Amino acid sequence: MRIRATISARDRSAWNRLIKLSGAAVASAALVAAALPLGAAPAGAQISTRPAVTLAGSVGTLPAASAAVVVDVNVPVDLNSAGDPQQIDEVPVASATITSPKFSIPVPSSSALQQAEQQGHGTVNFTVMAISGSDLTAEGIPAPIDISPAAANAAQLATQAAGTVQMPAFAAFHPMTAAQVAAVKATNSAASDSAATPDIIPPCTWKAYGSEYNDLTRIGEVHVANTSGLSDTFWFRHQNDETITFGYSASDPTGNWTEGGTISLTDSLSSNGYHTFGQGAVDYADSTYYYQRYHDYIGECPASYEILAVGTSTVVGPGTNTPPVNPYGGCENDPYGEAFSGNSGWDYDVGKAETYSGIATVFGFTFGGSDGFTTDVEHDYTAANGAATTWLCGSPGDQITDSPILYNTTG
Amino acid sequence: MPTRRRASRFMSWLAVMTTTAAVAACGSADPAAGPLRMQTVGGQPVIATSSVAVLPGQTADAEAYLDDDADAPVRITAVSVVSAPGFATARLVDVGVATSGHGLAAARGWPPPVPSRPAIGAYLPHGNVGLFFGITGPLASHDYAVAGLKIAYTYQGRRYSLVAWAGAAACVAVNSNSASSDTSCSVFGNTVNPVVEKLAGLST
Repeated sequence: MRIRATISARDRSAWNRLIKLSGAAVASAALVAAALPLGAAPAGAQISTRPAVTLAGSVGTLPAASAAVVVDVNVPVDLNSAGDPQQIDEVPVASATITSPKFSIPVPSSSALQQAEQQGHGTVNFTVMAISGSDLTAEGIPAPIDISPAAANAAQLATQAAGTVQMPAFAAFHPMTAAQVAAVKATNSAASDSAATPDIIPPCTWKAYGSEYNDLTRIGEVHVANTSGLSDTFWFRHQNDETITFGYSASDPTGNWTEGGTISLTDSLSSNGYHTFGQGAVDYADSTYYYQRYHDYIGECPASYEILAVGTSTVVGPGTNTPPVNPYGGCENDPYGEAFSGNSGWDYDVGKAETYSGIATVFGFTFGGSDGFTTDVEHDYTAANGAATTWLCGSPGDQITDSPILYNTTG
Repeated sequence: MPTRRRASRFMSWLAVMTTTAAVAACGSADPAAGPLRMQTVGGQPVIATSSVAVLPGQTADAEAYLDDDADAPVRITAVSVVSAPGFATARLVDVGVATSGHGLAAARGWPPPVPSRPAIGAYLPHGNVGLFFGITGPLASHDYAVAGLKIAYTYQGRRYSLVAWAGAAACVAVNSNSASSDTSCSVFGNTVNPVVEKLAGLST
């Protein structure tokens, strides 16, 4: 049920639920965060015959003859009173040694993976790190592993059926810092050459750095015909799954960020937010998101600093700037336009996510994001008594049912 | 042509009711395996709920979004409404198949303001299909709703049926001056929508 009352309470249930549902399990996840010899079973593993998922991709040209690749599952722990994780453990769950850029690493079932599945409602945030000689690269990616069919979108269902997640291109290898070299060397045999590809990549622990920061973040857009009596109430539903980029910085918590990949915030709201946009509105819809920087004090992580979105709020309102208008000039000209008479209403759940490249800039890092899986973003259009018939349509070439953006125009 | 329109409406209603009875008698139909489905996005059915303030006898028009993936003709034989629990059930007046790309978010009066042809007996095109339907209720100053349509059809000599979830509300007013306000009917539609979504299995 939707909640019509004004909602302003922030919520961090994406992280909160982890602790509430599986606090003890998470603690055990931290315990299994141990160095993982390449090719060995993950610590605490309960290996099944079938991998939970296989991560595949290319790390790019190897600086050395081989590379050690480790798959870490991200486990947030130590929540503060606001629900923000004060620590994120990257628990090694699979690894391999490669001699060419491409990799395909089966990730077996394990207690850590199962805990991450629980907290992510079937989606797990992975980090894949590769070290070749004294250079490294890393990429984060969420993977749908066990999302219920009712809650999954087509891409997630397809991925779950295939059992393989194809990762995007990795950033080019870059030299490890002295701290990283020392950490890797400490994890491997004392005699190992710092320039050699290690046998073991150590687990990684991120600690919160500074306070959280909140900022308006773009989650969608609204188009309302410039006709008296028209409005659209934009709903941001609590089941919303957000896929959001995150940043790494080698040395600076206030800048020099590079994109580290994407994470998924699943079921990030405990209730629903909404805002009603009136006649003629052509606006982005924004919500308040919470961001946190993390620091690797040891040198075991892919970078020295990381910046993540850790939560969202139910506040929805008009954002800055103006989105492009309907390219047909009017939905009546759109081959798939739909008539919308006065004195009526039309409630529609947008099933397709729209991806924006710049949803917010925090501490110098510009986040990109994709919102809205299935029933997570809803538009309720209302035409007052006496309002002229207007038209609704989707993006060019899309039927309205297959479009992430809805337009409403006078003709 | 009010008389002709009334007659046409009556015939359509008769056809709908007759075919509804046929659906009820269609015990051997296999409802699960047919080629006609609801459109889905993200693995979930596409659902919209329309709410329209109407005068007595006037239809509130809405659309069910279907997908026909058959490689042979699919023919609609009957359509009936599916009740939305907790709401007075609207009466189905007529059903049409979209004949252009244009669709129907919400409208009043039959035929709808975008091109369509009668649905009963119609052969459906391959791919996405817009099924328009008009509903109303018998009493002024009352609100009526449906949760969707039950569609009976034939395909390769076999009979099938499908429940297409498509919320629709008709707020019947005494006259145009006393017509249910846009706000009240829209609010009514907003109460129908989550019921429809729940019936459809959406994770709302």
